[in-house]
Amino acid sequence: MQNIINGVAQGSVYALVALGYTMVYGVLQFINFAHSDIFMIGAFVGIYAAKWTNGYFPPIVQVMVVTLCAMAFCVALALTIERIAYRPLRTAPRLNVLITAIGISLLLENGGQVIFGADPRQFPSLLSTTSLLNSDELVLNNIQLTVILVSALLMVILHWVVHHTKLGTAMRAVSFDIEIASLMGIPTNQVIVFTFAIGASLAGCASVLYGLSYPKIEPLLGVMIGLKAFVAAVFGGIGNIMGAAIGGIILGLAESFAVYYISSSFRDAIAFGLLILILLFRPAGLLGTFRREKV
Amino acid sequence: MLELQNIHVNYGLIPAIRNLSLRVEKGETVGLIGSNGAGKTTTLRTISSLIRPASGKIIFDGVDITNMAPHEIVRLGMAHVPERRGIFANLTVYENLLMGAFTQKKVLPSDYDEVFTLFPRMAERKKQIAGTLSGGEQQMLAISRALLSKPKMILLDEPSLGLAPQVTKSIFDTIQKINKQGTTVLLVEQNAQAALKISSRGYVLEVGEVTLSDTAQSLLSNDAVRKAYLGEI
Repeated sequence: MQNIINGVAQGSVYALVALGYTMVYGVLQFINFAHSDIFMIGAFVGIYAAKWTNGYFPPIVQVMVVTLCAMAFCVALALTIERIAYRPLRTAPRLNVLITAIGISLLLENGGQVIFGADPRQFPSLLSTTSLLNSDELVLNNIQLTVILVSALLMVILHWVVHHTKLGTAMRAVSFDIEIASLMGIPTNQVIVFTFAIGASLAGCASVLYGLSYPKIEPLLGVMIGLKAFVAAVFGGIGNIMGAAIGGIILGLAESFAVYYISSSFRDAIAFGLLILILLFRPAGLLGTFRREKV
Repeated sequence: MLELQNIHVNYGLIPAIRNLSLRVEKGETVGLIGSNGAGKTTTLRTISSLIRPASGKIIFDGVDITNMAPHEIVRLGMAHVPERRGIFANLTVYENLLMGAFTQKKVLPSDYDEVFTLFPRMAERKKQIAGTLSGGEQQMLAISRALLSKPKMILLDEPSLGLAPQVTKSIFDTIQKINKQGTTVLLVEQNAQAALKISSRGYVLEVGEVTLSDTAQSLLSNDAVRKAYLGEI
C-alpha cells in the first residue's frame, strides 16, 4: 500500500511531463527533447519566485503564486523555442527538427549550469510537511497528497479541453492530418502554439510539485526525469494523451515496487527495462494504434 | 469567381503543371478531367495553397490568393474536399462537421439540418467514429463538412474514387443539387463521363497542360475525348 502511494505520487510527475512529450508528438510527430529542460528551468523559476514572494502570502497562496510563475515562464520559454527554432523547420525533414530539439536541450542544460551554477540548489520548503496518516504500515503526508490531487485535477482539465472544446477538437484534427486541418480553415500554427503552451504549463506545474517533494534542484535535473517521462509516453503509446497519463503512473508504481522488493539501485533499470519490453511486445504502446503509412 | 493565370508548379526540378490557365464563373460547375498523373490534384492543391506555384497568379472572388495560407483561403469562402476524402478518422462524425464549421463564429442547428437534408445518413451516424463509416458515407461526410464552412465555391477531388456506381450516382446528384443552391463547383474526376454530365464546361488536362477546353456538351461528343477518357474505341 505504501508502495502504491509513493509510486502514484512519483508517477504523477512523470505523467505530467510525459503529456508534454506526447502532445507535441501528436501534432508534429517529433520528440521535443528540450521539454525536460523546460521542466528544469521551471524548477529554478520556482526557487526564485519562492524567494521573492516570501512573507507576502500565506503558505498555500504562495505555493499557488510560485506555481503560476513557473508555469508562465515555462510557457513563454516553450513558445520562444517553438517560434525561433522549430517553426522555421516546419517543412524540413523530421530529422532536422529532432536534431534541433537535442541542440536546444543541450543549450538549456549547459546554459543552466552557467546561469544557476552546476551545484544543486535547495528548493524552499513552502509547505511544512505534515503527516496525514501515520500508522505502522502507511505514511501519507500533505505533499504527496497535493502532488496526487493537483496532477489528477490537471489531467481531468486536460481531458476536458481536448475532448469537449472546439480548440481541443481542432488539436485532435491537426494531430490526425495537419494538411486537411488547414483545409478546414483551422489556423494550424496557432493550434501548434497552443499545444506547446499546454505541454509547457503542465511541465511548469510538475516542476514545482517535484521541487516540493524532492528539493534538490540542479541544471541536469531534466535529463533523468525527461528520459523517464519519455519512457512513460512511449509506454502508453506516443501521441496518446490517456496513454501518457497511464504510462506515467505505471512507471512510478513499477519503480516504487522495484525499490521495495529488489533494490533501489535497480530503479532506473526497471524503467528502461519496461521500455525495452513494451517495444518488443507492443511497439505502438499500451494504448497506441498503428497508423497505416500513407502512400 | 476563380481564375488561374499561367500557373507553373514544380516538384523539385520536375515541372508538374505548365502554363495552366482556367476560369470558373460564378454559379458554374466546371469539370477538370484527365488521366492519372495529369496534374488534376496538383491543380486543386495549388488553388488551396497546399502547394505554392513557381509562377502565375490565382484570383478568387476578386482577391489574389496566390500567397495566402490555406486557412485564410477557407475564410474567403473556398472549401476543398481533398482526394481520398480526408476525413478525420479519429473524430466522430459530429466532430468532423464541427471542424468543417471551424471558420463560423456560431453554428446553428439549422446549418446542420441543411446538410442532414442532403445526406440523411449523416444524422443517423452523428456519434459514430468517422473511421468506421463506409466509403460512400465518408465521401458524404467530406462533402457535408465542406458545406458547413458555407462556401461560395467548392473544390471536389475525385468524389467517385473507390465508390460503387450507384453510390457515385447519388453523390453526383447531390453535387448538382449543391450547385443549384448557388455554390460554384470545380470538379476533378477520372470518371469523365459522370463529371461532364453535370458540368457546364470542362477542361482536359494532359501531363500538366490544358489541351482542350470547351462546353461539357461538345467535350462529350469530341472524338479524341471519347477515345481517351470515355472508354470508346
